[in-house]
Amino acid sequence: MPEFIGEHILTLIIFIPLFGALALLAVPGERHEFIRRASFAVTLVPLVLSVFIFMNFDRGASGFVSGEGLQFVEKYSWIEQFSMNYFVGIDGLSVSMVMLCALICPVCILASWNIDKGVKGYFFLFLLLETGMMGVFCALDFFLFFIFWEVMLLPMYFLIGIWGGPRKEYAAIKFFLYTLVGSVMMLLVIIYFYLTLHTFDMTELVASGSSLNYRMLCWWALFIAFAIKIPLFPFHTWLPDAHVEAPTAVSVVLAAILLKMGTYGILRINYTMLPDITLQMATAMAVFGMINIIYGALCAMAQRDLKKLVAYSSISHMGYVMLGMASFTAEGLNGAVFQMFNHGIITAMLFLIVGVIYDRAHHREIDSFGGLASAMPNYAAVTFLAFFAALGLPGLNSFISEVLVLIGAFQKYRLITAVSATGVIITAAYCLWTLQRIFLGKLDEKYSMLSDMNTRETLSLLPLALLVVILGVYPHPVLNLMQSALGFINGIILKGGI
Amino acid sequence: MQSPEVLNNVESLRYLMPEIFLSVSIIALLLLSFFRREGSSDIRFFYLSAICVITVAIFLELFTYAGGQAVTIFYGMLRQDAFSHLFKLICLAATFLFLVFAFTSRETTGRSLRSMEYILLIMANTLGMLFLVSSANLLMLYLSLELLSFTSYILTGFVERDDKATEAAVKYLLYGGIASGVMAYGLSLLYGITGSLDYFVIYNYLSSNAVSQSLLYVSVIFVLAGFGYKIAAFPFHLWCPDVYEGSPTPFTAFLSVGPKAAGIAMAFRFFYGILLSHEGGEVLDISGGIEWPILIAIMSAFTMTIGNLAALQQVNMKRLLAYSSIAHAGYMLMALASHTRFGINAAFFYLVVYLVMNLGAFLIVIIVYDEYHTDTIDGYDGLAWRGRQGAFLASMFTVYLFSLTGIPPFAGFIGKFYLLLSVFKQGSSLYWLAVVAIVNTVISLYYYARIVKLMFFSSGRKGIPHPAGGAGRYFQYAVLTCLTLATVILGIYWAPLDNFGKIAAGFID
Repeated sequence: MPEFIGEHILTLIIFIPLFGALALLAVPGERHEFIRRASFAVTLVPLVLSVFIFMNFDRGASGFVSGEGLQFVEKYSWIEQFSMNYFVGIDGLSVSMVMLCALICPVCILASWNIDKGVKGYFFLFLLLETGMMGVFCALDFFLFFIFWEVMLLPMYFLIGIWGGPRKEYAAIKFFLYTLVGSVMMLLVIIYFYLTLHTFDMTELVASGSSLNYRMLCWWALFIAFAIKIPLFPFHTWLPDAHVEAPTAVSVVLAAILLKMGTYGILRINYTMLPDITLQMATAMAVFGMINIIYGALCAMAQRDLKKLVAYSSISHMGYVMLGMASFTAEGLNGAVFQMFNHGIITAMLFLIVGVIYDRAHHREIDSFGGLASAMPNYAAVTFLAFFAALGLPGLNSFISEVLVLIGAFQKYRLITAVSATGVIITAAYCLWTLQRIFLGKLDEKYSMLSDMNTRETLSLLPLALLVVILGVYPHPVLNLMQSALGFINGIILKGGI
Repeated sequence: MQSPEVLNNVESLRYLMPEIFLSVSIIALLLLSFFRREGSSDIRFFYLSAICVITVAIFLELFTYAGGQAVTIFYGMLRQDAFSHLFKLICLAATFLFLVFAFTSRETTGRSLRSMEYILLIMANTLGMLFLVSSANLLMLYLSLELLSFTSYILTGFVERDDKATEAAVKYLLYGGIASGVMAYGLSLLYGITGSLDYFVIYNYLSSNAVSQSLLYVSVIFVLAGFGYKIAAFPFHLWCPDVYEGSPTPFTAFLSVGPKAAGIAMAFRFFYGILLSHEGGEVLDISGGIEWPILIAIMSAFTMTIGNLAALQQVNMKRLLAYSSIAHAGYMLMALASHTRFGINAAFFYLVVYLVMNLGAFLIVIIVYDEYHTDTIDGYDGLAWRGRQGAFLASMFTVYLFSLTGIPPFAGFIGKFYLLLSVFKQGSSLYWLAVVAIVNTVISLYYYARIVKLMFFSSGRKGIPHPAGGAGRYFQYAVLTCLTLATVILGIYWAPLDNFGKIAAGFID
């Protein structure tokens, strides 16, 4: 049995949520409590398995070949006529994302406990979503990657559209249309790659794109497909809408994991398959990153709705990832991927925090709160921690990743980095100002009765809070995971080949 | 295309078992119907016997298919090869499902459609499709097309004293009459150029002699009119929405798949058989540069764009699906425009997938019409929240709609992938068509998702009762489940179907 698990661990991680979802269909819809507990149990399985992966991951291995950089590889023939394979495996780039995903999903299930409309459907879709997300991070066959990428769309569409807020229909279709535009562009590139290089295998596609025509076009098609997901500045407008309307847990997944797929995709596909164009476009990417940092932060400052503020802060933080990626230095790349991981944890906390206050006050107007610290002391403590982490306070995890990004980027782009660094100040401004407006000052009478966090909420926030502190002090375990893989990717870019 | 073995009339008969069986059954059932009493038990008997006949025909078809080699029968009139067998199976499957739908739908069994002639006409219609698919002679092509068309006109207007149906039938007849007239003219021009009606002789003549470019071009355009009308392609699509809306829903479902499959098959036979040479596995245009693939590509681009744009504004579900089927005809034309060997594979694959998902979608429309007596899109408001059956119907419909959009993991996506692949295989001259198709996919998401949104996102208007009928629907639900499973399974593992497509593509060798 342990051998079986060891050999098929990624398949299990990907498909156990799917089987859980299908099994859920057989449960009578009225048994809400059972459905919630069962889905929580199902999401715990990938978490446990990801701990197993964390223990057994070979941190020194680099490269993009099964057995070397790629670990826990499984490869079976799927459609022979097109030489498509069921090919999954993880390297240093994806392992942190898989772990993030495995961690966030149970947290989200906890945060969805108060869903009581269409409970069965909700958890069914949620588990389906987990399958899609895990699949994207593990797939090493371009076609398989695309299938998972799209499979994720449908549950997300329904989760926003059915359980969302007042403008849910608009938000859901906007999210769907934006992402579909990106993915059909990706599909064209996939087909083009297949017809010229005769393979969908990502390990074979690495750096083999130099013989292609239309490389610039392919690069931009892929880049825009991923940029929509990140989202980069001109393609970002779906994000605030989706976040504001989505229920708490869905916002968490969206911000913590789905956004990462954009940057993951660029690193995995644009960087390795079209390295020469990536190098040419480096400055453009850095500028995109800079715009995101400043624009996102300024927008966040102007928000009255707490959830929208967090949404824009996500845009700003993803800008750091972009900036770090564009630097092609070891510090920058490590910082970028570490920032992806950190942002996943911090933004999850922030959205959970928004959910807690929304459940009690039934609105999210920042200005109408005040003095909540005296009514909800524990809640105040967690919120302070999360916002401090978001603004990059030394000793908390995102400080390390942001500093790494800035150090890396400064070596290449002095001006852009200097401008981007002002984003740190704006971020600090809106974070502190928000905390002040919500927690300090005079407590409004009508909020004096608000209860502090309950056990379930504490349980969902506590692991994330611990990670924020631990990784802030000792980031080594996570940084160590990705170092060699990122060095390899950087090598491809700088040398223009393997 | 190698010169196939040409068989005389007597030898030919054994290769024509399904068609013969169908004809004999039609006559037998016609005779039986003279002794029919007024009563609903009779009609059940006739529906069941028709279903049996089609089932037997499917088995006979499989049997002759397994029989092996490609043969040309009746002195070159018909060609029975893997291509025609496979497309005939699609047509027979469409008829089979139509009969099942009509049998279980209250709309057909409850209205004046209980008459025997309706069933007989459908079977005659099927016979027309079978001949059309295997025609290898211009005359045979024209005759079978007319058999198919005339029965369709009558079937469309079959509902007595129904204004919409009558209007639809007249429109269908007028458009059809003009289109087939134009086509006949095109065929006669082709005969004038080459001196033969036989595909193989025409092919040989064109590949070895220089012919008048303009004449050939005109005849190709005229032939396109007839075939574009059959599959409802721009600019011959105008009859389609009215006919779809006016016909009884099961027949609409049938129209959207059966004749379309036959039309596509006929077009492949005609264009691939006459205008393309395939020596040594390489497909070359022998028309001498009349650019007919570009013509079809333009037709394809317009068809899908107009279909999708018009579908955006529809309020009636049947009209919406009509425009959606126009758009899908446009997608399928991509395969023809690609004039690659893979194009045949892609068209076959797409048709099978389209059969499954489109008929599934129509079955939902049929059931919803039976339960709620509405076929407007608003009638689907909050369907998902009307009890367990509503939720089931809405979920199934969602699968079909997203499959029609072309979103993984549903079969529609793989079908679209095949079509794009066929266009890409042709090379950079048709890349623009792939981009048009992609843009259309995004447009189509908007109206398909609108239905999903209505079904799921609004909790529904007050006062709509839960569906009453539980018993008696189980059969329809079972069919729905099967079609959904097929949609999902073909989206995940489609290798077997691909093999059949490859075999079908062998007809050009």
